[in-house]
Amino acid sequence: MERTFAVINQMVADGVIENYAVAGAIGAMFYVEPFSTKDLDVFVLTPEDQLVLEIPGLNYLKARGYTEWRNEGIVIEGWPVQFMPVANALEREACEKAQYHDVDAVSVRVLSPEHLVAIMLQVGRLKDLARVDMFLAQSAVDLEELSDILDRYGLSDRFAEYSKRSTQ
Amino acid sequence: MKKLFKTHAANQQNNARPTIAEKLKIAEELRDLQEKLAPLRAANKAEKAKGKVQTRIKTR
Repeated sequence: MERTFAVINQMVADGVIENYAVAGAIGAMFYVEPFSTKDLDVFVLTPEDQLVLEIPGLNYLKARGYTEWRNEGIVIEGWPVQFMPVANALEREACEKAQYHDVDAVSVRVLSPEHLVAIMLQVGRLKDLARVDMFLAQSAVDLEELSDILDRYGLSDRFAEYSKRSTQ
Repeated sequence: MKKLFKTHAANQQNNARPTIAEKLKIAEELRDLQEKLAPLRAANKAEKAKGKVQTRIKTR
C-alpha cells in the first residue's frame, strides 16, 4: 500500500490535486486495530465554490497506465482508490486539518480520529457505527475534541442516538 | 525474573500496538483472504437458496 500512497503524493507534487487526506476504513486503521476493507477512500480538496464534474486526476493516472477499475475505484498499485471531492463543510474541515503520518518511508496525510468519527456518524451506515464502536472501545479519540466537532456540525443528536442504541 | 517480566511486558505492548505499516499489511492479507473465500461463499449461498444446506440453530 506504500506504493499507492507514493503515487498519490506524486499527484500532489505534480500539482494534479491540491491536497488529499485518507479517510474511510484505511484512515481508521491508522488509529484502531486492522480490519478487512476492499478499497482506499481519499478526500480531495477542491476550490470551495466549484462544481466538480469529473474525478480529479483521472487523466493523469490514465496516462501513467492506471486504467483498471474495481469496486468503483481506480486501481493504483493493487488498491482500488476512490477519489472523493469534499462534499460538505465537515469534510472540508477534516481534509484541511488532516495530519501526516509515516508509513515506512512514505508520508501519508490522514484525517484526524475525531473527524473520522464525526464523518462516520454523519454517514450513519451500520458499518460506520460499528467503526465508531471501535474508536471508542479502543480509546482512539479525544472526547472533548470530538464533542466540539459534533456540536459545531449539528451531530450531537446523532451521537446521543448512537450512544443510546449501543447501551441497549 | 524481573528481566523476564520486563521483556514480557514490552512484548505485550508491542503486540498491542503494531505499526501502521503492519496494520495495513494485515488489512491487505484480510482483503486477499476475503477475495479467496468469495467464490466459496457464493457457492454456499446458492446451495442454501436451493435448500440443500440447512442451518441448524441451537436453541439451548
